Amino acid sequence: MIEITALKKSYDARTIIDGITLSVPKGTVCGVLGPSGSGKSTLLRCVNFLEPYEGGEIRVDGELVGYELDNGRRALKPRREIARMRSECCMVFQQFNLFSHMAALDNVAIALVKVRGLKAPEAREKAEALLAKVGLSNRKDAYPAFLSGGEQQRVAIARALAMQPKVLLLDEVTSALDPERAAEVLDVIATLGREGMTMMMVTHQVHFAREVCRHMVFLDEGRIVEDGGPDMLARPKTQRLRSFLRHLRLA
Amino acid sequence: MDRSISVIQLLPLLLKGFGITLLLAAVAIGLGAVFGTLLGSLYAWGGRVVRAVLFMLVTIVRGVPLVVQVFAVFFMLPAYGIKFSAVSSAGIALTLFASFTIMEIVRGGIEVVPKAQMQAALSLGFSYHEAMRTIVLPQALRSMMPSLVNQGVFMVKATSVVSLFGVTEFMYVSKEQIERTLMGFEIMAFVWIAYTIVCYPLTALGRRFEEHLKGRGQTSLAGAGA
Ligand SMILES: Nc1ncnc2c1ncn2[C@@H]1O[C@H](COP(=O)(O)OP(=O)(O)OP(=O)(O)O)[C@@H](O)[C@H]1O
Ligand SMILES: [Mg+2]
Repeated sequence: MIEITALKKSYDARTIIDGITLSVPKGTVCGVLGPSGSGKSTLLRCVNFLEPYEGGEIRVDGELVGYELDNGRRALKPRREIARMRSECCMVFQQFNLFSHMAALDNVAIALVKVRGLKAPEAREKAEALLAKVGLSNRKDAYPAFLSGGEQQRVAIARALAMQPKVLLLDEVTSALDPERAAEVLDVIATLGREGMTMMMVTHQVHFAREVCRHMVFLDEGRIVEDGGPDMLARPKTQRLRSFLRHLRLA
Repeated sequence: MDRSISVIQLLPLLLKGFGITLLLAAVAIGLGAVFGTLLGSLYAWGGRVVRAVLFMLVTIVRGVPLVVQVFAVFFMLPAYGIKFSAVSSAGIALTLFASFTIMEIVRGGIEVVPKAQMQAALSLGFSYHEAMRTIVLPQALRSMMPSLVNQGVFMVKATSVVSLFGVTEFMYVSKEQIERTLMGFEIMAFVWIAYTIVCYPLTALGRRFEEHLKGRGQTSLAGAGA
């Protein structure tokens, strides 16, 4: 579903992603680990095309992300196409980023109206169903400021799911939450995983990752240092991953 | 002195002065809102040079008391041969002041909306303009509203400054009549009430808006102390 080939991305002169090749088959969850600054968020943002990239390619469901090839030359896709691809490949952020002037229900419904072109009542109906799915039916009229972190993040997941994306990109979605709130959110993600949602997930929750992720990659300085199955974290091969896991446990 | 006349008889004169006060305030607020919004948007979205120039201007304009700015318009422009009537000069000075104050409010309003709000909208497939219109600007406007209302109230009161320059607005006319009739108490009571009748509803409106935002857990610039 996601095919990343020799991806390169830099800010000014600094290379942030330095040749990443990675494939996430349909219906699987790929865990992304790595120290701070290793380029995990940047990788996800490239897949959603919130960031342009200079080298290599990203394909989602076979379609090149952000660019089109014109006689072998790369050119930006039309804006509408970029927006459409983003809506099929939604992102959930560490800081939730709910729209603060809208109640939970409207947060979920608004993109259905503005992006998918649904009528408001129909959008609300769908949004209600999604809030029920993340266990928040009773909070649908609450404004983000009155929701706990865990509730906000579940609304954010519902908001992304509303687009019925082919792929869900999760960037440290539980890092800003205490363990109990994090567990609420992880439950939702585990359920999505079982239902066959294709996901790419940056996380530091080692135990959770081992349960949910079919495939894992460990990034350092914009490269994949090690990749493997769920037991990669139990039996790390490289010194770099071993020391990273040691620091993670001490933290 | 002539005790036989009452405030009622002075009413047409006083109200005419009050009319000029309201006119000045309306012009300053109206034009100030237009220029202020333009300048504030320029500041928020403009390049480095635009920002530097605007920053310099705002520092110059807001670095001195309002009365000094009015002085400048009244006495500096004529020195260059640019002559306006007293009322026009007052209008220009107050508009200038309002523009730069509102510019700061608008800039602040746009800048307090976190970049992440735009990013979240884009990541869902919003177009840039749709995200601006449905996500960023409504939040900016909400946060600005109480400050804008306060600014309106302030402008109504601030017009009284130009009475020092012989503009026949409310305070000037009132002072004239007090000197003529010596009915200081009655006339001042009338002045007090007239200003209050205009300013209080505005203040109350601002407060209502503030409460409304608080009820939704949102903050306003005024609430944030900006
Ligand atoms: N907009 C930007 N402009 C310049 N440099 C940036 C920008 N965004 C990120 N970077 C740099 O890119 C590098 C990778 O950032 P990224 O956010 O992808 O790391 P990360 O692995 O997600 O880290 P963390 O675990 O702290 O979230 C960092 O060194 C960061 O300073
Ligand atoms: Mg990150």
